[in-house]
Amino acid sequence: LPRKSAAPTIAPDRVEDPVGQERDERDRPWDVVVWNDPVTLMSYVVYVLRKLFGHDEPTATRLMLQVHNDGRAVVASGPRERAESDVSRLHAHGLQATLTRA
Amino acid sequence: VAALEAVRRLPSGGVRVRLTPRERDILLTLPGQLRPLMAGEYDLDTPAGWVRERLFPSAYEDPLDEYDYRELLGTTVPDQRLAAIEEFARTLEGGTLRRLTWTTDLSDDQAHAWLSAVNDARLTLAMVLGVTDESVWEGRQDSNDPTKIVLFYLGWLQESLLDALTPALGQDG
Repeated sequence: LPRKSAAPTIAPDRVEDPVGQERDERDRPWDVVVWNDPVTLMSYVVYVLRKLFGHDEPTATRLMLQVHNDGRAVVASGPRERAESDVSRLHAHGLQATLTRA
Repeated sequence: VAALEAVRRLPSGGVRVRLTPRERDILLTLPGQLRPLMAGEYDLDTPAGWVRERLFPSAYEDPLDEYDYRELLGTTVPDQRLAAIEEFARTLEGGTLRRLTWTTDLSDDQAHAWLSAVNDARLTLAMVLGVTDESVWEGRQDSNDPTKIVLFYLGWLQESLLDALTPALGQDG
């Protein structure tokens, strides 16, 4: 199986402006990442990306090839709640997906 | 063994599936194998646990975030997958058998249920076979291993479903 995201959660080491930092942290978008796996058909990944995100075929194909060649691709970004919803929809379609801070 | 075009788009919407009785018999075995994987708890150190982990992967690296996410989501994703398997099973029970061809017409929603069930079956069989890289798809596909034959067959069927469903995605852009 492919590797999962190894991005650590980095705790802030300065506290001059904790409220501002907290707000900045909350405001940072989340990336929805699709991971390569050796079983899922390329055509199926393209289809799911088009169906779920409304991508045109060239865009979905480019993202699929990025998954295939690089091992992963960011297919959407946004607020945490929406990113979680996107990941659950990708999981419902059997794709390997995670979310991580952008 | 397989027909050249298993699935084709109908002008009125939906798709028509045409299979040999042997192909249908193979598909009829899948729901019984997939249903148990959609529910219940599995020890992650067992083969069933490994399959379950692939079917329902983590969303977060952080275990606390993952726990909260799973609490929020509940059984939504397994329930959706199980509903697709049941629709797949139901439509397989119907259809008509004439001479050496079994035929059934599916709505787009039912065809999506087939796509989901076939994909789950491919993921499961690949885990059973220990597929860890893409070399399994290279070269000749004339294995005598029945599990491998079914895995290849399901890939072909899934491609046929995708060919028939893709036009329904509408115009690009």
